[in-house]
Amino acid sequence: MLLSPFGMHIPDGFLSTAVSVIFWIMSVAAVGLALQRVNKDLGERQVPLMGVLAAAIFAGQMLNFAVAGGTSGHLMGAAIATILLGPWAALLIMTCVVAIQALIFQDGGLLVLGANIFNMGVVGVTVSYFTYQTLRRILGTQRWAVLAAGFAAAWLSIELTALVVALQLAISGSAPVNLAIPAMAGIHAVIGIGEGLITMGSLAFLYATRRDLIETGSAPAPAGRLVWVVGLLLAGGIAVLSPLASANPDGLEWVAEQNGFLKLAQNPSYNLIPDYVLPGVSNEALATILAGVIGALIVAGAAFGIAYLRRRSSGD
Amino acid sequence: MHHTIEIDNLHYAYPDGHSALYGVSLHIEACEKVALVGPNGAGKSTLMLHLNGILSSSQGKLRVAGLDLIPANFGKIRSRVGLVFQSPDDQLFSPTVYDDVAFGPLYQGLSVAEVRQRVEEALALVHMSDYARRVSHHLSVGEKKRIAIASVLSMKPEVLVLDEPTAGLDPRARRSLIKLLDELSMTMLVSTHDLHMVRELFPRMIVMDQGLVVADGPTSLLMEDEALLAAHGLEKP
Amino acid sequence: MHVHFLDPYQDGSSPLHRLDARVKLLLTVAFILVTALTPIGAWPVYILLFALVIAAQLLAELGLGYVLKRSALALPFVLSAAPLLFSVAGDALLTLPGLGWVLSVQGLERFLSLSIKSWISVQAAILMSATATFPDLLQAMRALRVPRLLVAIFSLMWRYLFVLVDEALRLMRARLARSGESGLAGGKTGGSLIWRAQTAGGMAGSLFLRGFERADRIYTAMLSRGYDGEVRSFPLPPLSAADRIALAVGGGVLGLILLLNFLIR
Repeated sequence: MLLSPFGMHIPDGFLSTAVSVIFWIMSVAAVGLALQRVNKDLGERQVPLMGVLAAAIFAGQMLNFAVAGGTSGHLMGAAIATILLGPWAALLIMTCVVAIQALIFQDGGLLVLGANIFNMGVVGVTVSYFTYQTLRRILGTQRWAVLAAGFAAAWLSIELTALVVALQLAISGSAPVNLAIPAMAGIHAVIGIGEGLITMGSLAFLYATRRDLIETGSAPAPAGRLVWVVGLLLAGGIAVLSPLASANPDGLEWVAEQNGFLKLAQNPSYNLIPDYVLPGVSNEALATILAGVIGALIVAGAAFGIAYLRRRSSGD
Repeated sequence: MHHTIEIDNLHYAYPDGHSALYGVSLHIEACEKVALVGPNGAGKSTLMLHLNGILSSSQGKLRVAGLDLIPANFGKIRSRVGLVFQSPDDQLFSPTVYDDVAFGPLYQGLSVAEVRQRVEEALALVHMSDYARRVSHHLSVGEKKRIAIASVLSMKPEVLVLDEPTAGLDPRARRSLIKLLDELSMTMLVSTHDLHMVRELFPRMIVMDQGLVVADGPTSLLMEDEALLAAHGLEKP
Repeated sequence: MHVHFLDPYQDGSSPLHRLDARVKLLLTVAFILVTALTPIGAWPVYILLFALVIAAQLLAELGLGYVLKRSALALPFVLSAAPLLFSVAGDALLTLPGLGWVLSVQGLERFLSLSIKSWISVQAAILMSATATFPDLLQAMRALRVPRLLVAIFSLMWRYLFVLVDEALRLMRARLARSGESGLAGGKTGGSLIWRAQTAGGMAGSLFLRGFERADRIYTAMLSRGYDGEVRSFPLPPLSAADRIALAVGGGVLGLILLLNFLIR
């Protein structure tokens, strides 16, 4: 399926017009809010800083490392941008990166740009932010805490973005729902490990060279604990809902009809969640398997990270 | 063990069509120290990037450290040819000095003990043994350049290729780098604008201009040829 | 080092080049929108749309092969729609032996429609990026009321894009130069996967760090030239008569096709 090493850029034609418009609206709202907040927080330095870092993220996406048999891993960057600059600036940066990729390099479509910005910008940054903040609060201020939190933020940002992409494709009828979700979730569970490792590597480098840069970005918002809880719930909600979506496409369709989604795009040739599935694959079994796979990978990833860190600190 | 560089009629054009090398030929013997001089844009860096397979050309013969420059040999060649770029910031990408110097041997798959030994030897060669735990980014330009050289020496290359080693250094750092290059015994090809250093360290000098070798001979002789120097944008030191 | 191959703009003076970037952007997006609104299996409309985009390419005087060649790069994504062939219920065309999956006519129709629409859309986007310089597109964005702050960030990003991509490529070269084989038996070349990922991470960190420091220097330079945090720019020039005509004609044609879409249903 979507194996683009540079992320999950959806091209034009793969999302229904309704979905494209809805996500455009959400992205515009989020970016508008971010512009206001950045003005307040960063002050005058904002333009050069965000411009250059957007370029750095773009260039950073070109860095690769050999994985196996000719394939290579890359960075998406939402997590590291969020950790370094905070969520609002990071959202603007990812917006610029995704927009330039679409406008100039046709990596991702123009009509679906709103959705791509939402996926890699809003979802990527939000998930990174809440994960990182929560874990830092729980784990503390030492180096290993920074790295572990960074890994988790990066992995989750990739995984949840992938799930949202799968949902968008399924709703648009561009992919059978019970293949899109497990395929995207499965593949990006692995790709997410790469993102986690690269993010950890960046944090390790920056921790050694300019620790202050890591600390400035992570100043927690004045909002209380409630925000973290809500954020985590939201993130967890998406992760949980998607298997449900694949298990019960009728349910989502019912919800969509209730909310008048169907009134937007007059395209009677396909329903909101198309009723077709790959033959021979039962939805219930898939949902369970999917949850199991994701769960196992989360545990494995955490174990990986901790084992590595232990080895590092006892090595030299 | 060959320790040699053999280039015959090398042509190279960039992907966008713009030609950089028009048939370069030169031979460097084991343990020779050769300076490569010429104006910016002459093709010096382009030539150097061929020596470890980063750039490839289909026209001309290229043989370094006894191996032909074909993709199958690139891995071995990169162990035998140490290429040090002009900007140390592009080469020091690990958190500590130790990590940067260890990269080469680690990539080769050497054991932890061997890697440690290589790093210690390399740092000793550049007189920076105390710097292992330091953060590369915080060092001065001169120190970074020496670490960059160490990061290549740790692979125990037969041939050392350096791109503008003294560029951007203050007199003290420059002096210390020249002393270092003097102490290293391997075959050396150094591209530079620093003609004082050339006269001091390099018995042989190759002049390049517009993608061609225009002169190749003893430094003492070529340095006296003011017309030649002037014709290629060089000033007699 | 030259990274200018990254810039897709193809210099020229064709009618399309001379068209104002605002009109180009509007028409391109309108075209893609109309394509998106075209129903599955509306082959005659696809032909019309394809003809339109080919006509535009001819107007751009880039040589017909140019856009088509670049559009081929976007095609691999189309493969991800392949499962549609088997998942849409309908009249069977053929059955895969072993798996028992049935390729239906409707599935084929859907897959082809999606692929064609996607392909046509990407050609329009390529054409726009080939005939409009990025600074012109920035102007177009301003005209579309994109906030000035965002446009300023875009502008700076574009300026330093090539510089930083250059740095990234040099980092990778430096790594490549030190990626040698020892030639000895035993010992795994390449180190562990985790180590390689960490190294790539360090390179990224180095890029970001230098980005921060460069941003400081840029900010200082901007201050020295009077920057006070307010982004100011020249007012946009008015559209020429030719631009207006092009906009009207383009809009009209697209409107007709849209009408056709409704009638076909």
